[in-house]
Amino acid sequence: MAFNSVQYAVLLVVVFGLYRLLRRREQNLLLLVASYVFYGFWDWRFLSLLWISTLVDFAVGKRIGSSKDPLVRKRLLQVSMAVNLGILGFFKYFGFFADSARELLETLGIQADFVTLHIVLPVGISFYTFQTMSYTIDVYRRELEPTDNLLSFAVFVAFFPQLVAGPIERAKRLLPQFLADRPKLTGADLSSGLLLIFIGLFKKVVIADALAPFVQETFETAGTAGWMQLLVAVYAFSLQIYGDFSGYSSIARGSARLFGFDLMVNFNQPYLSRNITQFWRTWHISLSTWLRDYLYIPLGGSRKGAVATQRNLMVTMLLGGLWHGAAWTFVVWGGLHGLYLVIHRRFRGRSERSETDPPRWADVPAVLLTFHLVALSWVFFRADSFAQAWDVLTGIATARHADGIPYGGLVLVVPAGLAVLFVDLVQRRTRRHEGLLQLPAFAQGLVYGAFFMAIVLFSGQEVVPFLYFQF
Amino acid sequence: MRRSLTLGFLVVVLLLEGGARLLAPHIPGQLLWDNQFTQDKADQIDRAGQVDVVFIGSSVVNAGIDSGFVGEESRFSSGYNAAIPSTTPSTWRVWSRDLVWPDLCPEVVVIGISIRDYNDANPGISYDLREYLPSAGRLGLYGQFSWASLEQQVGRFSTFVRIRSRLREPENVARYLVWGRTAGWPVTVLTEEGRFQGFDNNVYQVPTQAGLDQLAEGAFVNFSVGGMEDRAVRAMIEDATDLGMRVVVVRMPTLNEELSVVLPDEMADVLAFEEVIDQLGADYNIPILRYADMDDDRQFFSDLYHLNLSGTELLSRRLGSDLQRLFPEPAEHRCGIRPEEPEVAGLP
Repeated sequence: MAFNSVQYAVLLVVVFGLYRLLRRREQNLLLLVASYVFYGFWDWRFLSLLWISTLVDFAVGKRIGSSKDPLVRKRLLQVSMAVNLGILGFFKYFGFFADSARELLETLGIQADFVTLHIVLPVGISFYTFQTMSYTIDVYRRELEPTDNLLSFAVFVAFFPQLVAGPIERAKRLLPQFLADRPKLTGADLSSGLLLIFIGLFKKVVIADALAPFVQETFETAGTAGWMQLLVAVYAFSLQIYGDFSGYSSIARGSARLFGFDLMVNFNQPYLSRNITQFWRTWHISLSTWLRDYLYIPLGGSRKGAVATQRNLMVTMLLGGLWHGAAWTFVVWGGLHGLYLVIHRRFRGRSERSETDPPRWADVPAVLLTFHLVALSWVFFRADSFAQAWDVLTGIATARHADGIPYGGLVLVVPAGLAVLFVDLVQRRTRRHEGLLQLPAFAQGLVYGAFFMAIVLFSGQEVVPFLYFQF
Repeated sequence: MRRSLTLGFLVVVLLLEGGARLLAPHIPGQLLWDNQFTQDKADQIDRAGQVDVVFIGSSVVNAGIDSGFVGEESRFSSGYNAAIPSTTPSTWRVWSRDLVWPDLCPEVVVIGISIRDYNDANPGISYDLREYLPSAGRLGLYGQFSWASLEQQVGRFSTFVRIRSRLREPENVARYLVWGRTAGWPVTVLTEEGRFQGFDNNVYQVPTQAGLDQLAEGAFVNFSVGGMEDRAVRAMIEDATDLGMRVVVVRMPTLNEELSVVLPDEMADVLAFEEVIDQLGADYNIPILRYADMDDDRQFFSDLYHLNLSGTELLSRRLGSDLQRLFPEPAEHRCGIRPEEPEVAGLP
């Protein structure tokens, strides 16, 4: 069930209507049932994986919390890691590593005859696995008390607004919200929640889905397309993936807010970043902070000298790339970002300004440079293969023949880019994702009218799945 | 506060609705079928009413048979060319049940088959059907929901909604306003009787190697006959004869010698195709018409299997004479009743 589907609208309205009539425990039960219905819509069989993760981490968390023996605690943590990473590894990476090993052996002249399994990737597995792992790790680190409330814990793992594409919430942030009574829904909560859903729908339906066919068509013909078309397609994909993923996060946050929950901000106008470090502080924040806290820092972070820091950055970003998908193109994407971060760390100066400060005109060159570095990496992220990525990059770099200006792409990319820029600038200047609410009333009306008509214009086509569902 | 907000909202909505109303008369309407050709054909069938004879097939028939010439040589004065380009018998069978039998109610059905249409391994088959089956126009025939049908309902009140599928392509809107045509949008080359005129003025050019390779890897790849396409034609014949309609199969002329180059087993494939066609005649006791003397005569062709205007006229006149000879007197028949459900058993 995708957020941009009629089914989701019905689910949201029905659950919202019932929710207000219930008390906390019943509310959690309702949310749990709704979450399983939501997930079961894709494939009910994979609910069992969700239950395994939930039960294992609940039980392990309790045992860790009650044990004083460091060795037992460590063994229990390892059990949780083995189960969660085992499920993730089998369903997401088994085929990838088997194929890679076979190809490697074949290049060495060894005929390998592996069993080929056609494993279906359960939607959202990377998200809920990381979320539930964070609970066990935090309990192990004594940063969080384990919960005795299985119902609340099960909803924390399966909460439908963020189940399949994040934000990857931390237990210490979200779990207490399920354990506490819900705050009374105010008019401000309702309007900001609906506004976030509205902005998310706009980004998904109008920005991402409208650009998707052009991007797909161009990447499929990357070997013959002219350089201008390829370049516009790279810009288009940069906007598409941002619209798609940040749109999803926005709908998730808005939906959760209607039920009285505050989900973390996952995107903070990343394309306004002045450098790559800022970009990673504002792009997919729930993943980048997860990787920072549970991978980069345990590896040593920046505490063990320049070389170790650079190694840790590269390892973190390479694994971050692999988290996105079982393909070497994702690894290269992560590697490129690791390289960017290493270089930036080497040469960066000290800045007084935060990554969330509104941009100035003088920032434009740095913002543009950062955007283009990120856009370059998106080529590997989007391409189905290295050959396709190579075709795109060489097509642009060699200024391969152009059949004229690609107006079909430009008429979509330019308005989409301006719309994204407008929303991001308003949010950055007001420092609020619901910043549109601070515009004068008439201007708000104009913006809502334009967004509404744009959604009407582009909705109802074939539902394009959210890109991040595949991760 | 609320009043200003509402006012701003309405200003945008009304401006865009007004713009759409100004634009609407100058651009084509909403696309309900899978492509513009099918849309135009469905519109024409809606206008045509009952006819004496229909011609069913792919673009080979759509370009190659003119009901006007047929009518001049026979008693079948009204005819409609219901062939749809880029399709194969699997699609024709569904299309004929959806619209041709119920709306055109012909006395005689001419199924024109070219070797291009009969390859069971043609990767385009499932694509054609996948596009055709869920089209809004088709679902609408069976009262099933589609966004496009909802658009039609809302479109009674809002032109913006009604033409939004066109507005999603601003480049095409601009091109259409300036030049009156654009890729994929109506290029009216159909006669009112449904014949495609795009090949009429072509003089045959020997195809390039690249063109032949494209055919070898496309419609003719792994050529095999006698499977699902043949079953689809048989089902169509049974549908029509059950309704008392008379059926004729025309094996459409082609440039066999040049075409055999792109077939895996060359002339053996051509002969296998001919045998399957003969078997149809034998099994259903229906006439199989061949105009074999037109085969391999380049003056009649636009390409390997599409006829140009002189080929079309010759074929159509000869077909008209044959139909007159075969069916000199009218016969009773029933009009097709559209099935209740759009699903058709036995589809690939």
